[in-house]
Amino acid sequence: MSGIGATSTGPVIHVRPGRSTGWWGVVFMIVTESVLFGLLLFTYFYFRAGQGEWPPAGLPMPELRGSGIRTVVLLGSTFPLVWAERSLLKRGHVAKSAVWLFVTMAMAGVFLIGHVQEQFVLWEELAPTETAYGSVLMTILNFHAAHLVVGMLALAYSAVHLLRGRITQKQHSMLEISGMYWHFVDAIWVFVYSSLFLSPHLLGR
Amino acid sequence: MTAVADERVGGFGVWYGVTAGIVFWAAHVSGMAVITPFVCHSGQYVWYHVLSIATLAPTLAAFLPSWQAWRSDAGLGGLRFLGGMGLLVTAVSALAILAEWVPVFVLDACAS
Repeated sequence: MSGIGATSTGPVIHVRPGRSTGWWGVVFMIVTESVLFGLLLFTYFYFRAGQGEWPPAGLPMPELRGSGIRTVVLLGSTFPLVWAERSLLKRGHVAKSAVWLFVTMAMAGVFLIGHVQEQFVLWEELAPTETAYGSVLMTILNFHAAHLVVGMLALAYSAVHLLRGRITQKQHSMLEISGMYWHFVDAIWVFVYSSLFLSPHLLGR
Repeated sequence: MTAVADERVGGFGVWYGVTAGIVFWAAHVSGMAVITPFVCHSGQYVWYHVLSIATLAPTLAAFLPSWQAWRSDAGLGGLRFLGGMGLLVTAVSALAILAEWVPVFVLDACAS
């Protein structure tokens, strides 16, 4: 309960307990963006259900080696992020926390470079404006990449504020909410990778 | 079911129609929460309206490519499917933004 009370020594401000509005904002964003990815994956499977062969004849199967390595790198980036949070919250190590944030961003950068390289290849092979498969595949992959870039910007913002002393052991909501968003981007990739890359191989053409 | 995957599904426009509504809804719902401390501190409630208009306008714009996609494909094909879904998603998202915006006129977000 918030409010302002008066005592003999002056006004006393009662701070409303609970989460920050920024925390709720990111939670709302995660919920709505989950709907978006659910919708996109539904579209993918709708197209797939209407087709005897998937990917359609003449189009290549999704490659697993490069995308698998990128998946390990992206999901692995969860660990330095958790270490960054623990370094600050449990031990108060600002510099170490910032270093782990930069490691997380570097791993995301590796994933993103692989994504861009993959896009050049896919653009040649799939003609995304010509086939439903290419169109939905490219849309989902690029949407995820866009979310990844937003997550990287949030982490970079947190790292800068950490080094400037604006994020501390006691005041760390920015680090917390950018971390939440990052875990969301990681979790979404599990569904995207399973659906777009693994399922055509597991279920067959 | 028809072989929808063989059909042309269009480019950016039709995907804008499918995705823009949710993206701007997400921007609105999270933006409203994020700007609340600033609005309450400064007393400038106009920012709620600026954010709402800035997200509602591009959401409503998504109706056009979705409608065109819905109309351009006679059968129950890929393009028509995306067009229909775009219309539904845009309508729901626009309603959600309105539902989050209207209380600003009648409730005080900064009341304790």
